[in-house]
This record gives sequence, C-alpha cells and structure tokens, in this order.
Amino acid sequence: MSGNSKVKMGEQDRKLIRLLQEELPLVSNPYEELGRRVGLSESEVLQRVSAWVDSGVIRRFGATVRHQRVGYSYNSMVVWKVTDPEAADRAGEIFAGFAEVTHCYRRPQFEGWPYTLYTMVHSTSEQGIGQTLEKMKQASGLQEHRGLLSVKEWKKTSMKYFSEQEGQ
Amino acid sequence: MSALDALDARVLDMVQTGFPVCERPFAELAGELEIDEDELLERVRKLKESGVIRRFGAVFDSRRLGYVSTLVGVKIPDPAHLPAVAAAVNAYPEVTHNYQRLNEYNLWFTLIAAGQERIEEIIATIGNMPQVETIRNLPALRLFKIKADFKAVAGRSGGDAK
Repeated sequence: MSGNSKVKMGEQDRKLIRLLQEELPLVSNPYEELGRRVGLSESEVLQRVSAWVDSGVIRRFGATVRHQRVGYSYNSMVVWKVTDPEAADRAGEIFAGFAEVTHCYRRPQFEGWPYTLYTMVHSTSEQGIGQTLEKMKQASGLQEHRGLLSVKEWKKTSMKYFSEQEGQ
Repeated sequence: MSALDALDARVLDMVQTGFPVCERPFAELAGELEIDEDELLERVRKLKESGVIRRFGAVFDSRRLGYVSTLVGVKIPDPAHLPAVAAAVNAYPEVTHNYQRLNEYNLWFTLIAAGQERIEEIIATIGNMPQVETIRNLPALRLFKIKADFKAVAGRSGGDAK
C-alpha cells in the first residue's frame, strides 16, 4: 500500500516514530529496547516498523553519513533553465538516473527566474562536478544552468516529526 | 580523525540503507560481512563517535505523516544583515537546512511543518524582516529523486564540512 496517502497514527505510533528518528540503540536487540521504552513488545515494534518500511512511510532506514567525511566533499545545488513543465519533467526523469544526483525537483518559476529544475550534484572533486554537469547537459539537451554555491551552512538537521515543541 | 579502512567502507555501505527489521539486525549484517556481531557493533559505535555517521535511525516521508515541505529563497541586499536573518530562520524547529549561497537570492532554507498555514506564517514573518527584500516560496511541484546515501571511499578521512 505504497503511495502518497496520509497514514493515521495513534499515540503509541507517534511515540515509536519519535524514538526511531532519534538514535537507534546500538545493541544486539534494538527493537526490543525500543519496545521497552514505548510500552510495546518486540514483535509489536517489528510489525509496525516493517509495515512502515514496506509502505514507504519510512523512506530510508539506517545510518546517515556526513558525506564530506566519506570522500564526497564537493556538492553543488544546480538550477536548470527550463520553463515548459513537460520539457522540465522529461529532463527531471533523465537527471534522476544519474548516481551523482541525489535530489531532483521541479519548482515554480518566478519573475527574473526561469530556472524550474533543481538538482543536487555530488562528487569527490570539483572537476567531477563539472564533468557530471556536462553529461547532464548532453543527456537532457538543456543548455543553461546556474550553480548556487553554498558559502556557509547555517543549519543542517534532521526533521523531528511529532515533536512536542513544534508550533502548530 | 583517522582514515577509513576497507572494512569501515563496507560497513558504511551496508548500514546506510535497508537496515534489517528483525530480532538481531546487527547479527544478520555481521553474517554478510563475515565478522562477529560484537565487532560490527563496535565499528558502528566508533563511526558514530568520530562523526562519520551523523545519525542512526529512520527517515520518514514527511507527506505520509501529513506534513508539508518547501524550499524558500531569500534576497538580503546587504550581506552584513545575513547573520541576523539566518539566526531568525534557524530559530524555527521546522527549518531543517539553511545555507548561504552565492546568488542575489543569498539565503536558502527548507521548511517542514504540520500544515500549510504554519509554512505561510513562517515565510511571512521572515519576509517582513526589514533586512529582507524578497522572499520566494518554492514548493516542489514534482519530485524526481530524493536519495541521500553515498558509497564510502576507503582511504579518505575527509575534512570537516565547509
């Protein structure tokens, strides 16, 4: 039952989600440990987590690696000039096939900004970014792009869903 | 920190996605790596302590949990005002990423909130700051890809984030 439908969550589900997006206990039996903290048995935890993984409610499960530390030190947010939504969608599908592209979205156009396709490109070298962009141009037929070089990271964190302090 | 060895690289590739959902998940992975469960747990703990692993847990699909997300671009004409605006943006728990970028739109942040009203409220508050000339709400109209795992490169220790 994957898809985009919103899933109803009870209070125990919310508690479990809160813990799962914190740190998984690095012990032999982490699901039993999580169950102890939220008042569920190990099998109830396993059942819920499997269902969420299978249905796509959990998008990814495992370690999030600081990519600068595993060699992928170079990244660039690159926006592509394409104003026709259908042409943007065609190019978007092509870009999604590139291993070096981790994020690809179409977003609205606005005055003075004809760039509707947003990509995040990663590489182990600055040269590598340039080479990937060249390949992306050839594959998509799009010509104009702009790199929005990041000069300072002010914040980078993981979203905490169902947190008690979040504004409603 | 010291360079990653070949086993670290294999461990990292294995634990980034598809973590097993079973009674002894680390034992299962250790079996595939042909090492002991304890050795794997020790490696993972060390990779976390040294900061290579930023977090070990689940990433949820915001839409499936009923949340709304967007990307916001902000034009702050005087760069001297950037830190104040960036600090105001950072103060919201709904802001997950906030970067200064080389462009006339020089601050870009992502928002994930429990509803559209909250998104608009935050954007209006930041947009009304006197230092801000223009603010653009750029929600995804279509998602082609979102993926954030990387193959580890053995032998690289990597520097700190810029």
